[in-house]
Amino acid sequence: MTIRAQLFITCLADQFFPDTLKHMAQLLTRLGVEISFPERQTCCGQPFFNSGFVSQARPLARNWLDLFGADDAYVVSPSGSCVDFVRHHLPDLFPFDSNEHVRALALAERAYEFSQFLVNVLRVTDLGAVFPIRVTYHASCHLLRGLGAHDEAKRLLRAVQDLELVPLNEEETCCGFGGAFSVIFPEVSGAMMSAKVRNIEASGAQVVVACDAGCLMNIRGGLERAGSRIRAMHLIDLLAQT
Amino acid sequence: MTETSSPIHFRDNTRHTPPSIPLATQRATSRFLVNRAARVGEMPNWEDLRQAAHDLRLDALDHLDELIAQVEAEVCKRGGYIHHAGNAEEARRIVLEIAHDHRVKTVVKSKSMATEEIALNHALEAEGIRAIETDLGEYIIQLAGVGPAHIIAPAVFLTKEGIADLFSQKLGVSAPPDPRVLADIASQKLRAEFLHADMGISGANFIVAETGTVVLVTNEGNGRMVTTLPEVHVAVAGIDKIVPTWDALTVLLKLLARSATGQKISTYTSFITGARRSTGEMGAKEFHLVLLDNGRTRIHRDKKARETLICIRCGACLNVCPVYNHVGGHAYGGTYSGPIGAILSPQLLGMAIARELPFASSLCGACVDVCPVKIPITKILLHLRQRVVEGDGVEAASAPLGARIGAQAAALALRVPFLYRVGASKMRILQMPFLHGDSLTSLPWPLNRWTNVRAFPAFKNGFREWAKGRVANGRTLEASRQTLVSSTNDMKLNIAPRVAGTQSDEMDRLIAEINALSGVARRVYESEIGAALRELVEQEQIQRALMWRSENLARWKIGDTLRGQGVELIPSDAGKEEMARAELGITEADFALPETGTLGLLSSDEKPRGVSLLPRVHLALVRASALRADLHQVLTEARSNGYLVLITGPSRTADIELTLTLGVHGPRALYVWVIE
Repeated sequence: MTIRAQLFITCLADQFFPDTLKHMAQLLTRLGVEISFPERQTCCGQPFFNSGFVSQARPLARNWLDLFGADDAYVVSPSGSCVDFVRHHLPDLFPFDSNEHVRALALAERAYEFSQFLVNVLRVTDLGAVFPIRVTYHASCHLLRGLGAHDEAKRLLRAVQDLELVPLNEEETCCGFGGAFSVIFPEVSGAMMSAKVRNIEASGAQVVVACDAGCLMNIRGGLERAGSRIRAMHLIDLLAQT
Repeated sequence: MTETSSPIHFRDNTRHTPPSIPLATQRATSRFLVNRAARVGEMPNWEDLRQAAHDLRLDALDHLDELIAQVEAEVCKRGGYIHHAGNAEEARRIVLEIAHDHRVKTVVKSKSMATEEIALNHALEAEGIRAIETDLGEYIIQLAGVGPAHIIAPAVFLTKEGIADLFSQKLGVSAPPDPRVLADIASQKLRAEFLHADMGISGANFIVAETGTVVLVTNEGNGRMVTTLPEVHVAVAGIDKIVPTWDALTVLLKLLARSATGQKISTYTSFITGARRSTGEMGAKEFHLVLLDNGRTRIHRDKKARETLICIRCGACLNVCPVYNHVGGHAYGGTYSGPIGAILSPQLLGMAIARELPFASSLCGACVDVCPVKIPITKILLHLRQRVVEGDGVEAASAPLGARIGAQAAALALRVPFLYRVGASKMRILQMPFLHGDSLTSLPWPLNRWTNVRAFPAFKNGFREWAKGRVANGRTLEASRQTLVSSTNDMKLNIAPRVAGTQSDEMDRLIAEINALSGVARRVYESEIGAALRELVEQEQIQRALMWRSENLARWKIGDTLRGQGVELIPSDAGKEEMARAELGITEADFALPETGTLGLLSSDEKPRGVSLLPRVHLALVRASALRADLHQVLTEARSNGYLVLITGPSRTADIELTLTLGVHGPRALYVWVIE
C-alpha cells in the first residue's frame, strides 16, 4: 500500500530554504511516497505560542489542523521544533475533549519530522547519497528532547557513501536560537552561538549538519561571522547529494 | 541580600557579562554534571525514582493543608513551637520576636534560601543582632555583600584571589589565595561564633510531617553546629518543603545529593525532631519552626504551574542550563536563579518585577531531562510567558501594548494565505537595500538585535512556484475516525531496596566507600582495639577526648586505654565550651550503610551529639550488627528516635574554586573501625 505524506513546509523553510524543500519533495518521491502539498498552509502558530501569544497562536493552529487534518495521510516536515509543537502543544490549545482537541491528538500521531519519518516509518537509512566530506552533527533541542530523536539523523548520515562522521563536543547543547529568544536576549543567544561555533571548529569537520531551519540560520550566521569556511547544511540537502 | 522590589532587567544584566563569570560558573557546573552522570549511571532504577519522586511530591501538594496541620501537631506534641508566616514581613517579625524574647545578641545561620528570600539577615542586623552565615560559601558572599549565585555553591563566581582580598579587607587577616588556608581561617573564626551564639537559624531541606522532623543536608558541619550548640533553634522553611512520610523522604534523599553534586549522599544529613530531650544529649533547648507561605499557596492554586513547588533545590537545572552557564546566577536578580529561578521568581515576586525571566530561556529542555522530580519546566515557562503577554487568572498582562498589537498584526499576516503570500513577495523586494550576496548583514531596529550578532539569510521563497504542477495540492478524504489510545500507567511504582551481600562483603564495601571519601576505615579485632587506640592517640596527638557511654565501649575498655595514655576524658556534662577543647571524639555507630559508606548516629544523654562534631578527630566503632542494606531500613528504624545524623566521611567543602577542603566546621579526620 502506498504511503502518502503531506508536506508541511514550515514558514522558515518556505522563506529561506526553498532548495531544502525541493530536496525533501524529491527524496520522498524517490522513496515511493505519494506526496501532496496543501497550498493554503501558512504558519502552524509555534512562534506565537512560544512567545506567550496563545490567542494569536490558536487561530493559526486551527487553520493548520483543519488543513492537514482533512487528509489521513502522514504529515512530514523538515523541522523538529514545528513537529514537536503540533504533537505536544497544539492539541492543548483547545479545550480538553473538544472536537478540535481530539482531532489534533489524532493528527499528532501521524506528524513526523523528516529523519524520523525515514527511519521509523519508511524504515530506510540508505538513500544512495554520496558525500565524501567530514561531517559533524548538531542535535537540535526540540528534535532531541521533544521528539526523542537520539540517533535517526546519525544513522542516515552513517549510510551516506564516503561520509566521515566526527563527534561534536557538546552536541546536545542548545545553539542559542530559541526563536524570539535570539532577539529578546541577543547577547546571551550570541554567547551560546559562539560556544557552538567554537565546538564545531574544534571538531575538524568541513560541514555541520542539523535538522532545523532555526538552528541552521543561527549556526550558519555564526560560522560566517567567525570567518569560518565550515558549511552548515540541512540533513535533507546532504541526503540529496549523489 | 535585600528583598527584590524593583524590576529585574535580565537583558541589562546580561549585556556585558565579564568572561570570568561563565568561566567560573562552568568550572563548577561541569564538575557537578560529570559526577552526577557517574551516579546516575550506577542506578538502574533512576527513572523509576524520578517518577516516584514527582508523584509523591505532587500528591503531597494535593494534601498540603492536612500535612501542615500534621506538622503542627507533631511539633507541638514534642514541646516545640510552630509559627505560620503569610509573607516575608511576618516571617521576619516572628523571628525577631523570638530573638527578643531570648535576648539574642548573636545568631549563627546555616544555609537557607528561604531566609535569603525574606532578607532575614538584614532585618536582624537592623535590630542590632549579629547574624553570621556559617556555610563557607554563604559566609564569603555575606562578607562581599551580595546574594548567592548558585543554589549549592553560592560563591562560585569568586576566585581564590578575590576571596583572599575579601578576607583581608573585611576580616583584617592577610591570607594567601589558597582555598584550604582560606577555608581554615573561616573555620576558626566561626568556631567561636558557634560556641557562643544565642540562637541558631537553619532552613530545612525537608520537613517530615509524620514526626515534625526537620531534615538538613550539608557537606560542612555548620548545619550540625547551628542546630546542636545554641540554646534556641529556629528553622525557617517554605510550606513546600513538607513531605508526608519517612518513606517518601527516602526516595528524595536518594535523588538529592546525586542530582546536586554527584555525591551518593552529602557528608551530613541531620534529622532533628524538636528540642533536646536532656541537657546531656546536646541540641537546642527550645525549637521553633516558622512555616513560610510568601506566595506559595497562590502558586499551588495554579494547576498549570503548581509543579514549581515540588522542587527539592538540587541545582541540577542550573548546572545544565546553557543560559545560566553563560550569565551566572546574579543576572536573574532574585534569590533563585537558573531554570527554577525563571519559573519561581516570577510567581513569588509577580510579573511587575520579574516579567523578563520567563523569556530568559531558549526552551532547549535540558533542565527537564535532569530534574530529579520531573518538573515540566519548559511547559511552565510557556505558561508564564502567556501570563506576561496576555494575562490570566493570576495576573493581568504586563507586556507593553505595542508588543501585543504587533503580534496581532503579525499573526494576521501569517494566517491569511493571501496576506502571507503577498507579505513574502514584498519581503523579497524590501530586503534589496540590505542584501549582501546571500545574506542581510545589517537590518533596521528591532531586527538589528539579530544582525548585530550574525547575518540574517536572504528571503528566497521559491518552493511554491516549483511545486505548482509538480506536487499535487492534496486531496481531502473523509477523515477516518481514529480511536485514541491513551496509555496510562496505573502501575504503582515500587522502588526495590538494595539487597545486601554477605556480611564480609558488606564490611569490605563499607570500608572501601569510607576510604574513598578520605576517611580511614579498617577492620579491627576486638582484642586489638587497645593497641589501635594507643596508636591513634599518638599519631593524632590527642590530649583530650570525649566519648559516648555504651555497653560495648565499656567492654572494649576505651576509657581505660585513654586514661592509660594520659588522655584527659572530658565528661559530657562539662558544657559545650569545655567539650570543644577535645581533639578526639569516640562513638559507636548505631547504623552503618555500606552502599554509601555512611554511619548513622542517634543521640541521648549517653550519646551526646557534640562528640562526633566538635573534635577534629572522630573515631566511630562499628559492629556487624549495625550494618543495614538500604537507607530505607535505617530511616524506618530511626524515625521515632527524635534525632539521627548520617555521617559520610569527614566534613568538607568545595565552595572556593571547587577545591576540596576537609574539616570545615566538623571533624577533619574520620576513623571507622569495623569490629570483629
